[in-house]
Amino acid sequence: MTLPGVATGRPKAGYDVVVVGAGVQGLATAYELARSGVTNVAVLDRSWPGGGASGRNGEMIRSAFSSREWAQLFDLSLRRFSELSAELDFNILFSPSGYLVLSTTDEELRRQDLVAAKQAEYGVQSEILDAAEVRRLVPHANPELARGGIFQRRAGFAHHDAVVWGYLRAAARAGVSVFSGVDVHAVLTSGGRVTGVRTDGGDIAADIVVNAAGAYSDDLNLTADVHLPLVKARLEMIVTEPVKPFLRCAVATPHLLGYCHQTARGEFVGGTELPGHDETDSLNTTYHMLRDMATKWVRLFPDLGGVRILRNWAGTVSQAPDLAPVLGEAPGVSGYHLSIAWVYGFMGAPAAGRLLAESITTGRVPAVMAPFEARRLIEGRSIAESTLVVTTDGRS
Amino acid sequence: MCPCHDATLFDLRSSWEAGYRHPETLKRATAVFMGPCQGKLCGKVAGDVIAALQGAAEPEERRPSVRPPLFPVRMGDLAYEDESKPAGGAA
Ligand SMILES: Cc1cc2nc3c(=O)[nH]c(=O)nc-3n(C[C@H](O)[C@H](O)[C@H](O)COP(=O)(O)OP(=O)(O)OC[C@H]3O[C@@H](n4cnc5c(N)ncnc54)[C@H](O)[C@@H]3O)c2cc1C
Repeated sequence: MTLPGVATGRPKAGYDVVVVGAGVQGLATAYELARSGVTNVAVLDRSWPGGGASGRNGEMIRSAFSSREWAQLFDLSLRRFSELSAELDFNILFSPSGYLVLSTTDEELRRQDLVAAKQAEYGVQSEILDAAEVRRLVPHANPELARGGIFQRRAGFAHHDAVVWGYLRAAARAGVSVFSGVDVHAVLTSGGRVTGVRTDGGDIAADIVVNAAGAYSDDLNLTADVHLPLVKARLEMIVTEPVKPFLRCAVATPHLLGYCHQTARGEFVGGTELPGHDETDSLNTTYHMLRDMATKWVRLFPDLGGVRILRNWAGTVSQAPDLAPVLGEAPGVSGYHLSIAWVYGFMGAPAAGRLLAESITTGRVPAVMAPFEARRLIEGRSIAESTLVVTTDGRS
Repeated sequence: MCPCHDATLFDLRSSWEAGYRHPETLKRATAVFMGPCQGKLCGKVAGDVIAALQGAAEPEERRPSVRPPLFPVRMGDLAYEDESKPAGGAA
């Protein structure tokens, strides 16, 4: 056992559903399956639940995106986050203290009215802030970089480990078996149908297999002859010593390619990126990213110059060319379902788990989930979302 | 146990009892190894406690990774002096 809720003993010879990966995606899906009555479910992880990106992320949550597809999916998630502590009977420390996407450049300032208008059209409430309003909201931010923004008041952040633990315990209570230390080597198929998985402890039969293997989801796909244009990417973050509260809301800055918030304990937590992606599955951190983060965060919040960095860590994700997740049945292999290519997969999990479980149990793909099907990548269609704090690789 | 985060022997033992039975999950449940000392104060003792709980001389798993920087460093000291140096962003 590595966590409360993890099963002791070895997996059975077969289940109705096998989920590969006990990150927030796999666990949310298993929990939602159990809630809708499918309880003969195993979640298999080679590590401890939450040991992947789900325990290494920036914890930030919003639904104020610029595209209808992202806004609708993530708005369902945001609504779920506000009820999750009560539902899971576990405090996930959700802080709806707001999420600000800063505007820095003239272009960003020009565009923010348009983006907010679209959000209103999708039913996502957001506010357009001018320089003075941003200054009031984040008084410590450098006014040269904080010239405006879009603020989503009911968004914010939650504790990543707590979300994983909450889903894990609730799934286990509902009858799901979550195994730690089981390595899945291959997805087994026969005549275009999934039949189970091959693990380091032998084969496990299942008519439904869910790939929620995070950074390694593409490797798993290849064992089932499913070919999607995904890459692994490393993201890095820092945390500082605790300081007096100075930042209430979560802040993303597309201009600096950064995202940050201050925890209830007072630590400043933030990550930055460079254009392009850092294609590796290494969990080591790098000196140049440590300096990039220090430089950008001191630029945005000059007072942080005297605050000490305690830790720098890395996590890995899989990414599609359009940076949108891939949700739904894999092309060509019936019964094999994907919840992969998550770059914003912490905030997306409550919705994705529910929608994927619904599509598995009813056989019908919910409308909010449909645009994220894998086929879009094969046919070269992409979902255009303009408010992400990640860049594509320059090819697209 | 952990002067940085105020984690006590009781905290470690009760988290272990509750099911956080791995150095990596015990770390996340109690915050040992994660303070400004970077585990220099608590690391050895936490390892001994884990070994004792496992009934072994040494813990079965290695201790969680030491994260850089080895000692806390002021952000201003790591920032590039020339602000234009880091490859900007999406602008
Ligand atoms: C530094 C950083 C910051 C981020 N910030 C945010 C943020 O602020 N907000 C947000 O929404 N998202 C953020 N993300 C993204 C988010 O963390 C991920 O999208 C999300 O955690 C993905 O969850 P997952 O369950 O799909 O994958 P993971 O959590 O990576 O879980 C996959 C699991 O599968 C297991 N596994 C893989 N292959 C196998 C196999 N073959 N057999 C058995 N087990 C296997 C792994 O051990 C792992 O536990 C960030 C990510 C990083 C790295």
